[in-house]
Amino acid sequence: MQQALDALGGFSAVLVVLMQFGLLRSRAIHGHAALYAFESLFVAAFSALAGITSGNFELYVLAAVTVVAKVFVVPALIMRFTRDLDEHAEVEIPLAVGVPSSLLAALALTGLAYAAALRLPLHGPLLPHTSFALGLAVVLIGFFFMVTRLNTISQLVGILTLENGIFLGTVAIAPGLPLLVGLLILFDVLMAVLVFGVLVRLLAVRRATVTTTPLKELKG
Amino acid sequence: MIYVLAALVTIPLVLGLVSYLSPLPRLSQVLTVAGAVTTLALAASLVGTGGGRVSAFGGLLYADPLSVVLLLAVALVYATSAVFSIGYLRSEENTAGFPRYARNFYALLNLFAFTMLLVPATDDMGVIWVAIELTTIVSALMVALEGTAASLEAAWKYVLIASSGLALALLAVVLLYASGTNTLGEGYDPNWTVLLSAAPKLQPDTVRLAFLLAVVGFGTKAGLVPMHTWLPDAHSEGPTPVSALLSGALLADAMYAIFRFYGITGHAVGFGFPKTVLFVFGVASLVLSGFFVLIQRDFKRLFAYSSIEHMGVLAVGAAFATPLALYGVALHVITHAATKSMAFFGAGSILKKLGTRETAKTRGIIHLIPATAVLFLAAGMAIGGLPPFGIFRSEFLILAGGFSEPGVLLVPAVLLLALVNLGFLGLFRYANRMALGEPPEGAKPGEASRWMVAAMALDLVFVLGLGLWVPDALSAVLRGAASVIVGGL
Repeated sequence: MQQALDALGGFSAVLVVLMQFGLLRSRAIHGHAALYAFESLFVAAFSALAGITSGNFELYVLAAVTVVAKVFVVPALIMRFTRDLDEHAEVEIPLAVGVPSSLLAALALTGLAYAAALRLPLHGPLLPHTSFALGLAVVLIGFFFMVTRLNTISQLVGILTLENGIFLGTVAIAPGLPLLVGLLILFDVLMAVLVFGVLVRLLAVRRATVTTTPLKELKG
Repeated sequence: MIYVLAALVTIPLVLGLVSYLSPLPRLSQVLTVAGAVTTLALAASLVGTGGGRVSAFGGLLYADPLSVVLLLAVALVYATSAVFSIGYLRSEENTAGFPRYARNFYALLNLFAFTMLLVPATDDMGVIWVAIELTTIVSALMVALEGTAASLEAAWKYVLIASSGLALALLAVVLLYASGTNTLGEGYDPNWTVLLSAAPKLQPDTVRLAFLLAVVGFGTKAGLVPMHTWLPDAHSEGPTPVSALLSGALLADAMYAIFRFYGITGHAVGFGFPKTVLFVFGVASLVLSGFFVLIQRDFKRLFAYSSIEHMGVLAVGAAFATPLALYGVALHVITHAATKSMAFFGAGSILKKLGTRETAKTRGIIHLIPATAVLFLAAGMAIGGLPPFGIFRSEFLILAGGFSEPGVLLVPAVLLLALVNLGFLGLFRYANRMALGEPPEGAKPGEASRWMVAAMALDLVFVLGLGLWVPDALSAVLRGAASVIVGGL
C-alpha cells in the first residue's frame, strides 16, 4: 500500500514538472491558463496522497481548497482578464528565448535543482523526498519562464507557478506546516491575482498592448 | 498591553473597510486622521509600558521590544501621512473623478497601514510572510493610483519583482520549518520564540540556506542591492503619502523580517555566517546607492536611493552586532522613518507648488514657501546625518559600535563612515540649490497647504527630538530591541 502511494506521489510530482515544461512551449494565453490549472490539480493530488500516507486531515483540506482556488477560480480569472482584451489574446506571445533552447535550459535547471536539493539532509516523512527537488525545479523554471516571456499575463502565470513549486516542496519536506498558514498563503495568491488583473487591464488600456517591451521608461 | 496591541492592528483594518464604503471623502479623511493619530498614541503607550513580551492566540498576536520599535515607526509614518494627505488631496478636489479617487486612496491607505502593523505584531513566521506579501499587493495598487503610464510601469515592476523575491522568502520560511522537524516534531507552530529556543538543534545546513534565501527574498522588499531595481520607480511614481509609507515604514518591516531570521540563524550556526551575508548586502547597498544619489536629477528618486542607503546602514549595523551598534540600529529604524517621510512630504509639497520633480527646475523655494522650505532643508540635513538631528545620533551609535570592537570590524566601520558621507554630500548639495536662489518667474508665494506643513512639523518633533534626547522609557525599549535582533529571549 505504502509503495503504491509513494509511486503515485512521485508520479504526480513529475507531472507537475511536466506541466511546467509544457508552459515553456505554450504560446497562447488560454494554453497558459489550462496548463496552470492542470499543474495545480497535480499539486493538489500530491497533497491528498500525502494526506492518505500520514492520516493528516489538514492536507486534505489544503488539497480541496487548492482545487477550488487554483484549478477553477484562478484560471477562470485569467481567462476573464484576457476576454476583455480579446484582440490580443490570440496573438502569439513574443519570446526572448525560443522554445527548443528554453526546454534545454529547463532541463539544466532541473538538474541543478536535484543537485542542490539532494545535498540537504532533509527527509520528509511521507512520499519520496525527491519531490522537494522537483518543487525546486518548478520554481527555477518558473523564474526562467517569467524572464523570457514578454507578456504581462505570462509573467503573472510565472509568479503563480512559483507558488505551486513551493507548495509541492512544502508538502514534501514540511507537511506539518499549520493549516492556517497554508490557507493564508492561498488567500494571498487570490488577492495577488486580482491585483495583477487590475494592473494588466490598466496597462492594456494605457498602452494598448500586453507585451512588456515598452515598459522601459523608468531607469537609473 | 495585549488589548492595546489588538487595537493597534484592528483600527486601520476597520478604517480601511469604512473608507471603502463611506459615501463622503470628507468622512474618510476625518476618520483616517483620528484613527491614525490614535494608533500613534497607542504605539507610544506601548513604549511607556517598557516593552515587555506579550503573546496571545498561540503567538498570532505577539510583541517584544523589537516589535514595539517597528510599531512606533510604522504608526508614526501612518499618522503623519494621514495628516499630509488632507493637504495633498485638496488640490484635486474639483477634478471629475475625485470621489472615486479619494475613496480608493483612503481605503488603500488604511489597509496598507494595517498590513504593515501586522508584520511586527505576530510571532508566527508564516504570518509575517503573509503580511509582507499583503503589503506588496496593497501598495502596488497605491503606486498605480495616479494612473499615469509611468506609475503603471512602476507598479507592474514593483509587484512582479517583489512577489518573485517573496517567493524565495516563502521558501526560506518552509526550509526553516523543515530544519526544525527533527527536534520539534512534524507539526508545530512556526513561531519565532519556538524556533529560537530550539535553534541549537535545528539542522544547520538547512538553516544557512534558509537565511540566505530570507535575505535575498525579504531583501528584495527592503531594497537591498542588487534586488533594489523596483524601488526608485515605485517610490517616485506613487502619490507622495505612499512614497513616505513605502520608504519610512515598509522597508523597515522587510528588514525586521530579516532580523527575525538573523537571531535564529546566529543561534543555530553561529553568527559568523549571517554577519558576513548581511555585511555583503549592506555594503553593496551603501556603495551603489551613494553613487546614484550623486547623479539624480529627480528629487523623489534621490530620496528613494537614499532609502536604499539607509537600509544598507541597518544591515551593516546588524552585522556589527555589538550592543551599541544594535541599539543604534533600533533607533535608526525610528529616526529614518521620521526623517525620510518628512523629506518626501517636503518633496511632495514642492511638487504640488511648482509642478516639477527635477532639481534643476526647482529654485528659491525659500521665497515661495518659506515654512516648507525650512522644514525641507532641515529634513535634507537630517537625512545626510548632520547633528543635532536623530539620524546623526543613530548613525553615530552604529559607527561607534563598529569601532568599539577593533580588529575585524575596523575596516567595515571605516568603509561605512566614508560611504555615509558620500551620500550626504550628494543630498545636501541638492537641498541647498533647491532652497536658495531665484524663484522661477510667475510663481506666487504661499504655502501649498497648512496640513502639509503640519505633517512635516509633526515629523520634526521626532527628527529633532530624538537627536537631542532619547527618553528613558524609549531607551529601555531600544536596549531590549537590540538584544532581540541577535536572538535574546
